[in-house]
Amino acid sequence: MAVALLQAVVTGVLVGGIYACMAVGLSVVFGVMNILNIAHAAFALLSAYLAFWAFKLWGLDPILSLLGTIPILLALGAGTYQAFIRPIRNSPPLMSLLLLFGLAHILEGGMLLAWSGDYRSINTSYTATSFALGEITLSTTRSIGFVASALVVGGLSLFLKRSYLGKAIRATMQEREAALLMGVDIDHVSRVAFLLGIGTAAVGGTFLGLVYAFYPYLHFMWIGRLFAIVVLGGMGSVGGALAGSIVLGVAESVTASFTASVWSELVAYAILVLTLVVRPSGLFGRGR
Amino acid sequence: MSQPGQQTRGQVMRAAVGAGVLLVLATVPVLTSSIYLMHVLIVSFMFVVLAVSWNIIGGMAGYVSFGHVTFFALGAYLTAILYRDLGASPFLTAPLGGILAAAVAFFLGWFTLRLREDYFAIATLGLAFIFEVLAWNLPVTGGGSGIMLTAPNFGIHLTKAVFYLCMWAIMVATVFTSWAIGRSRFGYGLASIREDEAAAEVVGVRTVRLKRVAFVLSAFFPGVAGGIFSYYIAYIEPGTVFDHSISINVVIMSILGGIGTTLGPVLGAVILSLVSEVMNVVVVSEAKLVVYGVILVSAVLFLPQGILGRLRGAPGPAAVAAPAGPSQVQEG
Amino acid sequence: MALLEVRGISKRFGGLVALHRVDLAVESQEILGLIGPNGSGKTTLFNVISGIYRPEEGSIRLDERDLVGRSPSTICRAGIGRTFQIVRPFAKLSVLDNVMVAALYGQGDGTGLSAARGEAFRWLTFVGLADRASVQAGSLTLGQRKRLEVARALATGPKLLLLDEVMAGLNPTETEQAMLLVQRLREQIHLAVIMVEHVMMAVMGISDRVMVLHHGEKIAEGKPAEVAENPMVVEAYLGTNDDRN
Repeated sequence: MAVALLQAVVTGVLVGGIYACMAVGLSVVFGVMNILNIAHAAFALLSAYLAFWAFKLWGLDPILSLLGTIPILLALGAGTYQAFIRPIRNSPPLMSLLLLFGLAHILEGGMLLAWSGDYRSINTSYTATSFALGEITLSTTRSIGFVASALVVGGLSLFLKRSYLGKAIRATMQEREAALLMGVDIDHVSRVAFLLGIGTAAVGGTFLGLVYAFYPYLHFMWIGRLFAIVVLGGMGSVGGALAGSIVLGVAESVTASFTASVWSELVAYAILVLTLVVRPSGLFGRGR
Repeated sequence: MSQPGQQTRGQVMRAAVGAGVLLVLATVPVLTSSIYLMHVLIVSFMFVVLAVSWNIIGGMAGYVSFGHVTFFALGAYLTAILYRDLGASPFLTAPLGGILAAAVAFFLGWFTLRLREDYFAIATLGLAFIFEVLAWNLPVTGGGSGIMLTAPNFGIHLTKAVFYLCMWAIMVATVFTSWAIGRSRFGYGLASIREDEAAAEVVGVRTVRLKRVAFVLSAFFPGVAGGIFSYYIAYIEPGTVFDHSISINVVIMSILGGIGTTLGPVLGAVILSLVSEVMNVVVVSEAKLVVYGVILVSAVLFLPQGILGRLRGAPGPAAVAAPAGPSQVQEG
Repeated sequence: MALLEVRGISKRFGGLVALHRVDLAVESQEILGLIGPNGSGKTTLFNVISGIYRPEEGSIRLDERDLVGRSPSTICRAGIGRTFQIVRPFAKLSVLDNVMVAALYGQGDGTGLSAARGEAFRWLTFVGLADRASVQAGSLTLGQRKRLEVARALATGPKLLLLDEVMAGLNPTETEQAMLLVQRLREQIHLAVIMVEHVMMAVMGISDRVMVLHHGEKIAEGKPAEVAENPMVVEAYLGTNDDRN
């Protein structure tokens, strides 16, 4: 019993780690631009599809295909920012949400058109394998995803702490007015933050695609989890996104292990709604 | 300077024309024998109901709901379950569907209307997913197998006509309610909440109470429409009833037509229904999502006040629909 | 018993003390000027009195009715109206509709549309905006918006009006008009008024009494002339490089 619980927790931590990468990106975007990017998971899903095709057509391992996927998505992200986000950056947050909602549908529809609604999974040589650590089994794909995510999150943290641009981003996240007064180019910072978000989505998406089967509509399920995480952890808090990811991953995993797995889907949405209702600023957030 | 208490001729005319159109629409089953036409109109009426009622909370009050499909689904499931377990005719139980949806809205709104508008949107989306998961998994809803109803049979044309008139009646009720709100004290209150909620509070508007009422009203009509709908298509399961494109469609319809007014969502619903029908013929169904997404994005970028707003001259009219008083608002 | 009695109000934001044990009293038909350097807590005090913030301690009584913890709409209906430092019109509504909202809701739930319309026109005429009634509020000039904000507050039928820097950003002519407007509030409408102002000439000229806040505390109170000569007040202003005089 205890082992089963531990197993569930470990699996949960691994999956949570993969979510973390994307959640952190989402949080940064919110912190800097005050918008909820509801299309975030759609970009991630696109990354999964690209990885799938790279593997299917050329046998390219998803980890390697990231070298191509990331630039493609960043380019797409840059175009999106320029054409859609920048023009409305001074409109109320609701407008951006609506626009991104529309964009998510465009992406989903595009994927559906291009690649049909069939379930896809990336079956590399190590897809179904796992290894043992004592009595606990760790799935290979989840572990790789966890490590990759950890690297991304670590790299992002370092970037935010050490680099000039990173500090500008943090300043804008904490005190937008002050940052403006100190000469921070908010537009430039917003663009970078948005692209960082897309980058995290690219990485997270590919690894989620390795771990789970996917289809175009799935991005709505993912975004539900991501919103649950960032709301729980606190919008605009990177550490909070990290904590929230682990909490959600574990909660889902434990629920799936001890009840029917269908209820684990509910966990994310329940956490989302409950947090919004009880404590909208989340655990570490800056508040509404 | 306008005189107090006077309705402008333009408003009286518009209301009269609107009523006339509605009356003419009622005679369609008599005028035509085309089942296809009646079906298209039934679906359009349904979207008008959804869009106009969504607009009460989303457009007039400014609290956009991304999960409005929930209320539609609640109505559909209630009548289907009552039909299956009690043999009750949805024609009679549809209003109960509305009441259930309204009650759920009251309960949910209690917690979620305190949030800022974009958080509220996310919360409604989350709630829609929760209800969908419940629909897939609770025994009472039949899970993935859904619920079958036997549609009534009064003859092909007559049956269609009955459903047509039902949906027409619901549409008229919805449109009338929205129109009445737009000219009422309640409508002024909602408009002030949308413009600046804190300022509204400070001039005495009980914002929480008004939002709650708006949300409940906005849920009732979709609940009734859903209740009829399950009988109309005779088979419901979570996939059809929780079709999330419904959620995005009602948002598009209102924004496209012009949020805040009654005519706006009607216009948007009509346009989008037409677009949808054309797409069914011309385009692959997968492309629909892309088209809807493009329309929404374009609306936000280029037509934030909707088509009606543009027609009246950007940046748009006093957004309370046809207040009984000065209505044409010009730039000072 | 004064119309408004504020006792011992403290307000904190996290570790920051915005208001510390502030006392204030206003008699009916009195004009109280509220001055102090930037950041001294004047707007925060207004926000507390009008119910936007809840104080950590203290009491607020209007006509002996306890108002702490009440919602802003309840406080409005009890008889306190306010304007905002940065004006907040209902931008897309017409000028008339702006005031109508206040007339419809500011005094309870019983006001009908035509009665409200009459009220709204009355107040627009009072502030001199009746000819712009059908214009969109967002297109007014700053001076006009400030007058609209006053009309809107008046339409709620207040006993006490909180004016937050009505004169900020106005040119000399507009400032004159604003001063006259405030005096008419007392003379014609018999309102009590608390004015936050940086325009010293205006505040000192109109107020019956003046109160000075500094770093969230009251440091002086009395007739304008007395306060102007109070060394602590002078130092508060000079010491913080406030040269709005």
